[in-house]
Amino acid sequence: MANNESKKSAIAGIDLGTTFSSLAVLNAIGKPEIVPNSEGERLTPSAIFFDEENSGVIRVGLEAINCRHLNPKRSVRWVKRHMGDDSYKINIDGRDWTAVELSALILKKLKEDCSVQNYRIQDVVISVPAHFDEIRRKATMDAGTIAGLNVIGIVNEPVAAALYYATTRTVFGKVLVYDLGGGTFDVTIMDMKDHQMDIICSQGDHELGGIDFDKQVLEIIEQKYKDKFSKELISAEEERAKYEDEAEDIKKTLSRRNTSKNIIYGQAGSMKVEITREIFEDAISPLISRIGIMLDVALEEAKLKPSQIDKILLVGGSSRIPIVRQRLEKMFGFKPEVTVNVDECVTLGAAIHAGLTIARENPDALPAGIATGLKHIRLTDVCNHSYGTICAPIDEKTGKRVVENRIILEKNTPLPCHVAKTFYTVSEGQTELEITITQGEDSDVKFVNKIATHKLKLPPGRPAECPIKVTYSYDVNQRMHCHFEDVRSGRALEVKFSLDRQGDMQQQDIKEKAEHLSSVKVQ
Amino acid sequence: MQFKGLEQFKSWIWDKLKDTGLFEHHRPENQLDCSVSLVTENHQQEQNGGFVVKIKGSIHAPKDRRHTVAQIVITDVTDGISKAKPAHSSLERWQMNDSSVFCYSTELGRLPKAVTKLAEWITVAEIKADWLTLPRTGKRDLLLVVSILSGKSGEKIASTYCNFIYENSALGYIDLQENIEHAKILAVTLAFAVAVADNDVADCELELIKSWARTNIAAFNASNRSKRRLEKAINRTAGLLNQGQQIDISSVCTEIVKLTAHQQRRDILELCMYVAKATGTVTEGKFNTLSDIADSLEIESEQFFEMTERFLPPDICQVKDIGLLVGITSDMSKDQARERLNKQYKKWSSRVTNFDPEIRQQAASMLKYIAEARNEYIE
Repeated sequence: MANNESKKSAIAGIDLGTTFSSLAVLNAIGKPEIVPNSEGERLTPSAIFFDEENSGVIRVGLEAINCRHLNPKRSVRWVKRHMGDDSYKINIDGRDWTAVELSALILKKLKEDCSVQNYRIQDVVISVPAHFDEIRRKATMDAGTIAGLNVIGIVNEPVAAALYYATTRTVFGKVLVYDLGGGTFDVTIMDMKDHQMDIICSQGDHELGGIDFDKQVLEIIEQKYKDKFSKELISAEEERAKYEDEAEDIKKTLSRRNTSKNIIYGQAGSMKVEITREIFEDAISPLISRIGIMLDVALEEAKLKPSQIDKILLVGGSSRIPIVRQRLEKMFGFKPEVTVNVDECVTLGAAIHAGLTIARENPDALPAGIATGLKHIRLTDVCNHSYGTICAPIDEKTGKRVVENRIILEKNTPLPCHVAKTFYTVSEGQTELEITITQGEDSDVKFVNKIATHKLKLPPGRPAECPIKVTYSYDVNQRMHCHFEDVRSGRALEVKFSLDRQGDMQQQDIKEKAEHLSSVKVQ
Repeated sequence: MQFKGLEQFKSWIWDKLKDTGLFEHHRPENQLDCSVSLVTENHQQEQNGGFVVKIKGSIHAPKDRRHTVAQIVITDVTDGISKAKPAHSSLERWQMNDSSVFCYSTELGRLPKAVTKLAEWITVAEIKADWLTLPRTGKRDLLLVVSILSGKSGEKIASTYCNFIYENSALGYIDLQENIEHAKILAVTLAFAVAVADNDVADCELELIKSWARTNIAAFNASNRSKRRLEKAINRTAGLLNQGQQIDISSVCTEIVKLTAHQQRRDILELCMYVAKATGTVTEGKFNTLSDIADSLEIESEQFFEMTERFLPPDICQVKDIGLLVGITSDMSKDQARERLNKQYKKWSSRVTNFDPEIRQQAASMLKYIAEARNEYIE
């Protein structure tokens, strides 16, 4: 094995997926290439297994999938669905593992496997679903840092896929990226003029993906088993993992054939289970409807009709399901593009995004070959959520003050953007202004997330209705800046955008966790 | 000035009236006078009716207090001066500090002399009728007090008064209050209608209704006797309903519509929704009763739907018709239903990542119902 100095320094992109993850690096001329893992596979299952017989080793990937039937309690999958969720913790041998730490284990496996292939990861961009909020984006970046990676940015998965797509052919027109992955679904509409890509809008559903289709298949199997034996197929949660794998296999088979025939071995006896594509499609029809709504909503937001879409780019393994493609063909009147590898295009695009980020922020650090390879690519992204502040205007109907969320920066505003609005103090002699930065579409404060709160001191002895100028801006690196200014006194507060919820990690925590993880052996 | 009750207002207005010389046997010579002329409503020119206030006479102002302000207060003395009641203002601008008492004020400018004589009637204010809320509807005897104050110190320099009769076509604030109180009694009836929608009134429902009545109905707190009477009436109603007595929801709602503004009707529907979910589940019968009440209270289906979203989490609604949960009505076309579902989807998909687990759960359920509804109504 080569030592660290002799390894090739690489700019990388990572798709940290719900079911599979992968890593790509930019080659000498700026083309992205998948780096296979230590097992020689291009995709690494996003699965973790804590081996009780060898506590010094944590198994990640195929090994973890193979071991998980041995002890499902020490096995973790689909952690991405819990990213940013404070309450999600997996206790192994008395230690709580958060979604960020578990994701860091997967990233560490990708990083170390890359090292085996003689690469030393210099800078990395990790892809996230377009609908991920600030909390989840930050959690993903933290996971990368804990894994010992220098995370220089985050890219939306459909954007990454389109970036890669645009580098493989000449594309003009409105492109809809349909990203149905293992656990999430995103629709992004963009305007492409060869290498110039302008994102118009993104819509996402974080609870719609391959595992939800698997659940439907598992429910069919369970029902059939119960009908035959009058007993439950899964009597203990420990048994579930085995049947989840069966269900996933059946789903995959039904993408290739009209019928799947399997023998199911349960405690009450074994039985042959035959599931037709028709039965499967009927079972997943609510999920397909949900996809249909998202398409409608995305088109509505882009102010486009289906006939105005020129190309559909399929991304994610679940886009292989025939009914998904049939519905798209019916709705848009043409077949979706299947020319790029649906499992890899996000990873490859994330690597390109990493190159573009370095080219923009530190061009001297970018090798000349890569710089030349990427120089024609132009990308304009959008703000993926609405950001606002809580204020107390007077309701016109009742004449009373009401507390409400007022959106300042609207979802799908092209980046970089800068919006200023003026608000007014509420009472005479007000000496303090409570500032809340919100994320969400509602005017009702109950339904929006308060992502930061601060206080701005005001001069005493002033009347009510003094103007406060609030400016929100969002840069191309997806970083938000908020500025609150008391216009009369000139006093201002620059909000450093840090997430103030309990459970968000501070730099010190990240450092400590990174130190701990560096001593953990991942295989 | 904040009035904590009618007595405090009376004491304040009494002092004002004393200043005007109302209780003097002889009004001083060269005193200040005022007059009020009524302006009738002119629909064509979209002018509301109102009062033009004029003053005439002498104003004695020391050199340092010649910059003046005119302040006008209107009092309803229909029942005699000892039972005077203030006119209120619907506009915050013409409210006296923290109270809703009407107090108009306007700059008079700098008086030219120590004794300024106004030989002709000078208009000092044009007060629109819709700025005022009088205590009662019908013919009112109003007392108008004009005070001339130092613009600098607020000290009174001169004052005067006059009476005039005004036919008030709007409901007075006391009328409104009485209507509101009556409507609250009717609200209790509707709450019972929801409670018995599919079975007997449950103890928790009865307790909720009583608790609401205790907090909201003024008579409940007037005296122990009235409290006992109301408690008894509520218990008796519950008993009768459990024996099969019916409530005519439509006629109760019609009466409420006559008595109340839209916002209060929404408050009543909110109470009904709390009663509907008091047992932890909202049955289809209760949900349909709520829908009937909303309809009869003339609350638009969109607003009713917004309220159900807010107060009735989908997980507790045992409603078979998914259209009800997502706001699809039978009169909607396929396109309208699609539009409605898309709108709902946009709203709930942004809530699915809320920090509050309850909202997250509600959002997840709603997204499921929206997809099912699309499957049923659109595809």
